[in-house]
Amino acid sequence: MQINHNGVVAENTYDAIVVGSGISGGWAAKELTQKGLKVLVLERGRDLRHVVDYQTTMSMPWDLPHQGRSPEESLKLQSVQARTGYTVQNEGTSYLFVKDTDHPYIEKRRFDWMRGYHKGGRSITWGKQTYRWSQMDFEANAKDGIATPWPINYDEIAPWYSYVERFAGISGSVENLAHLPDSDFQPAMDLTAAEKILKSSVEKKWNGRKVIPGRVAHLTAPTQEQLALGRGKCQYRNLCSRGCPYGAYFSSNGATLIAAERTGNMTFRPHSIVGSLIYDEATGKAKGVNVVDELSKQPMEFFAKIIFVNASCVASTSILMNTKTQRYGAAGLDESGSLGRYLMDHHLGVGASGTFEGELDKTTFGRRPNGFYIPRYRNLYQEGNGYIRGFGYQGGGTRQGWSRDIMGFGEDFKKQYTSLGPWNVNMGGFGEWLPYKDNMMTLSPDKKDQWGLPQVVVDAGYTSNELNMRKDMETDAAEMLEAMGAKNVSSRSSEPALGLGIHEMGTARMGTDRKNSVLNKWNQVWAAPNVFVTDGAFMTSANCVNPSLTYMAMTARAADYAVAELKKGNL
Amino acid sequence: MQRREAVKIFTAVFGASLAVPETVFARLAEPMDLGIKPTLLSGKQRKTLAAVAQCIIPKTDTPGAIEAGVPRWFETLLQDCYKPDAQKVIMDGFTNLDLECKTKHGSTFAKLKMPQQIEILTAMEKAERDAKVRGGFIRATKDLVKSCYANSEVGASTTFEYQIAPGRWSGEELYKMGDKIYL
Repeated sequence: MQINHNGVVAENTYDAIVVGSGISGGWAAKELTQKGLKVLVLERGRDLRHVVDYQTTMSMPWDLPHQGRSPEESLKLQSVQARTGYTVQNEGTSYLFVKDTDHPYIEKRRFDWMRGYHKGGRSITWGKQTYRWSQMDFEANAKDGIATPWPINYDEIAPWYSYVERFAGISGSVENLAHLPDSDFQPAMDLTAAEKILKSSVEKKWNGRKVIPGRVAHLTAPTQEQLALGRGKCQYRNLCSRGCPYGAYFSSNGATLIAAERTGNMTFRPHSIVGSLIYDEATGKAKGVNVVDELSKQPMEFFAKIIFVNASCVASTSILMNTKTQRYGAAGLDESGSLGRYLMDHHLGVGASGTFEGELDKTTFGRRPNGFYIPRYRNLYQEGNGYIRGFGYQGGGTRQGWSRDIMGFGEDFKKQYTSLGPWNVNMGGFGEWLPYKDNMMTLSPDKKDQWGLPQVVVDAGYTSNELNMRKDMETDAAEMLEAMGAKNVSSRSSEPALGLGIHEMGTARMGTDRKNSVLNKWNQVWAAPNVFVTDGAFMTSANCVNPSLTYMAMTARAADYAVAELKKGNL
Repeated sequence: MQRREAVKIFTAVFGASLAVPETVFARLAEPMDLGIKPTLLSGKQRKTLAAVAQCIIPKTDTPGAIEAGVPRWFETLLQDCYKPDAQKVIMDGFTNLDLECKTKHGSTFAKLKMPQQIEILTAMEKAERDAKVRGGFIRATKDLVKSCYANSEVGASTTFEYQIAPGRWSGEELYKMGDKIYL
């Protein structure tokens, strides 16, 4: 409750504030507004209206000035992200990633930080792969005796997985795997003819290995609730990262924020950069947030009883680090020493590809925004060679088209060029990166951005666990392709760097005690119980599956808890 | 496009419950600013480029590189999307090709008959492969011509077919050589 000592405070006071409108912020906004709270959603970037502002979504390749390739001139402004070969190199999607020149950070070791500062954040450009964690994954830290144990188990989160899946819409196949629980699925996207050969070969040869359709947040059989939000069935364009005019894949803009908007309880404020929380020393809670307007650069304050911090892992951690309090001495908001540490991602850039010359009377139709998935099997069915945990693969098998290498000129060349080549089968691993104390981010003591906020410094890397795992990731991929009879199999592995997976997480982890973690099992900051952090920052370990589904489920769970506690008068 | 097509697809998916006005969809299907007039190549290089592009994708029962406007796309992309060293490989390639043709055949490349042009290019491609040159003139030029054609309005709506919204996915569709390829 705010004392109405002047008009500005009253005007800037809400029941709850949500910092960030990406995949987890969108969920916080939806849940809190639907439970009747007046919610202010602060987005640091510009507004991005659903459909209306997806400027390239209906562009044909020749409608784009460079047929889809980003010109060098624009890449200069995104030169940090351009190192990775995706995101900004596409002329149709580069407008959904920040200009690195406007948002500098400091890399002590390479850290690829891909950011989208607009309404919806990276929920617009995400890969949409969605996998549940299993009980095994929540037990892993305790069992291996590393980092700190997770304070939650699978049974606690399973109903929340179902809850968010039914709203978001997940396409996938029921497989009954204990280590990769099924979601509440809409129909799966079929494997291709070549992928089916891979599936039968791999499943025959290795105990416990499976090749299944990717599980992906796309509507294949929309429910009444989804249709009522203006969402339609996937049209198989595979132009998703430009924004989907059908709302067919899950994004904040196309789903949660529409639901939040319809309650009449949401105030959305773009261009609002949250620098820190306003800490109340007397109550030991945060009473609001300090904001800098992106355009005018004027400082502002907003107040609320509950604050959800969903600015994305690194940014949320920066907000906590930048918050001043003397209540716990020099430690600020963190008594455990874990804030900013244990930065994780998934390591990738390792796998294999080959050609398959069977099934040449078949091809595919449509552009599937998905592929096949090989769930983890190492250290489950087959032991890993010199590491703990494991990895999964994402891949695809489709006919080679015009872009393949074809010798010759003239009519003979044109005939080849306009027909299909053999199948190309490709897979890339997603490996678990362990939580290491020394993988950390800090705030620069002297370098600031143009809004006067300290720049982030990242200093993180890998150890032998990741490197040994990558050897298996490379060898296994090639072996599985060979098992299906693929030719020209070539494997690849690059030096891993954090950030490439765009799954940065772990720098404000949850735990069992305020001495080992920043957050409790409800995503509440131990040192400020009315503050909830439900983006990637809360992750205590990384597992090897794409994390967004877990962020969604944990956000819905935390919002439910927060409102219940508020009603009990505990916040 | 096909602005009308774009709108039709939406009404098919959403029926009458279109949440956003049709004019918005029509606007989203407008081309972006295509007023780029490339100025990278000399007149001579342009003639050579046109002749090489035609040798790669000639007009048959479907349009060739010239009909698809490949030379203009090629120069635009080369100018705006390539780094200087990669540009140089291609631009020097055009110049050297002409010089060599003048010495050996007494004429610029563009003025030779197509069978002879193809013979010259075929020999150059073989030499480049034998020498295991990476990013050589022939490979780089062919790659860009292939991509400009497949992504051009003419190429992608005659020889190939590009649908903005295929509407369905099939992992197993029958195919035989000569069937039209969907991009």
